[in-house]
Amino acid sequence: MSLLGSDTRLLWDKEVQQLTRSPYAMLTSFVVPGALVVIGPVFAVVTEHFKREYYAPAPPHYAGVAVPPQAGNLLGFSSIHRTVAEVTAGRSDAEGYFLYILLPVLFVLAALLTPVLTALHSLIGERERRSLELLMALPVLVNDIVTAKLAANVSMALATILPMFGVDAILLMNVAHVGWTFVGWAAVLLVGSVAASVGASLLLALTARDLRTAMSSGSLIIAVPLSLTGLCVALIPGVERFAVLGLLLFALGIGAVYGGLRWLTYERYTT
Amino acid sequence: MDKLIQIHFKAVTKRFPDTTLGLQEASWAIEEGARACLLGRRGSGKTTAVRILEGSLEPTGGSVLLLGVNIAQEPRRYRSIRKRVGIVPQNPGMYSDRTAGEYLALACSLYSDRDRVITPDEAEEMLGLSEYRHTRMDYLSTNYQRRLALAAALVADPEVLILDEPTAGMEPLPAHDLRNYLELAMRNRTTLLCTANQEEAQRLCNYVIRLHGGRVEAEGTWDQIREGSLPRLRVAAREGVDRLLAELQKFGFNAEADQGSVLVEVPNVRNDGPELLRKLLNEAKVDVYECAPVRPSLEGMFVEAGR
Repeated sequence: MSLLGSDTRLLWDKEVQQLTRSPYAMLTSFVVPGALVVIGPVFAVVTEHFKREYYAPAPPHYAGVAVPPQAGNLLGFSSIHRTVAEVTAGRSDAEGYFLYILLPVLFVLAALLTPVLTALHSLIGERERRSLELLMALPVLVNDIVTAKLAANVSMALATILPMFGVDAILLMNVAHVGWTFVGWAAVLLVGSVAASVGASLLLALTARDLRTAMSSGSLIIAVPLSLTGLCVALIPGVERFAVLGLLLFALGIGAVYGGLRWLTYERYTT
Repeated sequence: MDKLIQIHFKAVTKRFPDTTLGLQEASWAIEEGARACLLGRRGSGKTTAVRILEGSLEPTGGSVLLLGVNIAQEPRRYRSIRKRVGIVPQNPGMYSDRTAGEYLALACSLYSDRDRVITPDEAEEMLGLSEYRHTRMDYLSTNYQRRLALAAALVADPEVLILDEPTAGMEPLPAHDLRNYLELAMRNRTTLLCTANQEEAQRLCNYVIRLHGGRVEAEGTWDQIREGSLPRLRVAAREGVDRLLAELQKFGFNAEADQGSVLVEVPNVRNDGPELLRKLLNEAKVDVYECAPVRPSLEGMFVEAGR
């Protein structure tokens, strides 16, 4: 946290303390990434692995995964076929479908939603409770307060998601036999999604007057990175889609922070 | 030697995005050691002024200097002088997951680069909060919540204290109790108290800035405010109030009935009083038996100005 100024660091401490004391924040931080980063992938990879082992020869196209037969002709699926064949020789279609289509979506959802959900409560909840008045009366700038809140939510999300990703990485490398490149780019995707979540949280804090509005307008704001995910998955072949998507989401997050502060300003948050 | 000006509003205008005007060309200056109050009704611009001083709002026109630093133009210097200022916000919400002691500890650590910072224990002791150190902030009574906010503002022994309606919404007894602490806190320090309560303002402050609709209506000491008001004459006549009012209206005076007599506005009592009497006695042939100058009460003046 040396990137933060001394006042922001003190506020960051306070925010982290409050997050760890909040049952809602703890539940969100563990359940959302737990389901999307650990339970889903482990279940998919392990079941596919055992299916291959016990029911040889290899299952027909899309066996074991609920994919409509016509899906093979859809945009993106045709590229997955090619990609799987080119990049991962011998891998079943079901495994390829999971690794190259489902996994990036699950990662983006986990790393995007977890910090946004906790940040909403921390940023907008503080304003609704009027305890923001107390903070602003202390010798800090609004910039310190918002930065500390966003940083605390990101730290919390990374502290839960990265160890979970560690479990995934071990599993993917040992069971699904993916390489370091795959794991590295998947990590980039996670970090990029967290950056996008910072932008989304800030935009929501600056535009929504209360939690209810934030929850409804939140789906609109989150639709942007999710659409980007869909496009990347459909158009970019192979493992490169993780890298491109991660970098695009990172840029989107930076752009949202810049645009929010340039055109919306902190006054929207404090009034 | 002239005293330093510690809070200076120079033709400050604040227009919100929805075009509401918070302040309109408002100018005032508060000298070192003054106990000033911003007196005005709800919506008169008091809280907007405090928000500008705490840096959460930026004026759309004019400039604000706090301890000689232009808040909007010099953010770095503002950050450093902000530690010399204590602010008590208006009716703040309380954390449900922090105790009073934890909040004071946070305030102390944020002020820690000040030499004269006092410990949370001392702040608690000073405001009678010691026994509530481990109490959740939202469990404290309103009285103690306000004391806590005051304690947090005082931990650095600030040179300037800004109080935004500290007793608003409190019952009379706790409000009286808190005013005693405010009196102590304001002693020997430049203070800006925002209030709609004139009695409180008169008790705690020696300088008044009267705000209405974001504009400064009057500014000065209480005596200066009184002197600046239009004096009135109380006139009574044997013919009664109605006849007096009719005659005064003929002569072009503003007058109103008040407790069996008539209050007449005159620009200058010494010059216009004898002239008024001559007109009533000689021209109107009214038997005037009372004519005395009256200073309006501050409350009356402010109610009148508010209209």
